[in-house]
Amino acid sequence: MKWILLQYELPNEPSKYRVGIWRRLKKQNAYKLLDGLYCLPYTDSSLERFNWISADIEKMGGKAMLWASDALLQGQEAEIIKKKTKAIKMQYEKLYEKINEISKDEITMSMFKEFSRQWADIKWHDPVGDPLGESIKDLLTKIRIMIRRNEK
Amino acid sequence: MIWTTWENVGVDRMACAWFIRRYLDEKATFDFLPYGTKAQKFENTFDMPGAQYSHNRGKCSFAAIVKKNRSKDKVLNLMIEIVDGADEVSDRLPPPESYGLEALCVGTRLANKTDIKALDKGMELYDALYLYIKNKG
Repeated sequence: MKWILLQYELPNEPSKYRVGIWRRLKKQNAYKLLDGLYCLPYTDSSLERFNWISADIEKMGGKAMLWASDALLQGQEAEIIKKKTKAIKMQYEKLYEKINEISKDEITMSMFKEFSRQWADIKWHDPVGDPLGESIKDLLTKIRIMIRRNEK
Repeated sequence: MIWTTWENVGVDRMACAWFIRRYLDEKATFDFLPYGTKAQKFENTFDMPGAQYSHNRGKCSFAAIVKKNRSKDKVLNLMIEIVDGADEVSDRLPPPESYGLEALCVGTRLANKTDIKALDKGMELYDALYLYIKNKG
């Protein structure tokens, strides 16, 4: 498996630059290897996104470098994928709790649509297809059937 | 007129190129630069850092080009949300169409040997998206 690595440095001040870059990396589900070193599986999309982040880091007065790489030691990739999978699972769990906090017959169509969009966003970044994602999909399907039945 | 952007076109560059051909310059031709190239040396640039139309305040380059030239068009404004969501520039949760659009644009680039061929195919995608939104009302 090929990886793309972003290595960067930013000035200490203003701190909003660091926070902004951190938030963007988090949004991309980039995996932090070390301070200032993040990776993503090498795809056209990840290459594009890291290129934009690099350009912005330089605009902020920092330095950025991009590298393409293969993992050479046994177990390295498995560890990264495990952590990424765990992060996705946590997002699913949060959504699952949120849906279950509300009584099913109180869920309106607009609430259902919002839950579905949140589910789709997590699913889009899910590298392995976590079973909880499928459970939430089943739950949302049941809710939709219930809403439609109540509408009749 | 020659319009310049980064290579490896995707959802945002296809959207900008579509807008340029449909609203600004019907006979536009496109030139592609390697990633990392700075836009400053070129004229008529889009979707690359420092370009005439580029990412700005958490919005995609397509938003910049529409807002500058056709800001009152309701359909185009809805398209901005979809492209923004697909390009993952914005922090807002994407509209459902974004996932499909991202898949189609990445697939279109993979199915075509060159960026220019992918952009040409992308024109049809964005014509279709425009009509879909317009007819949806």
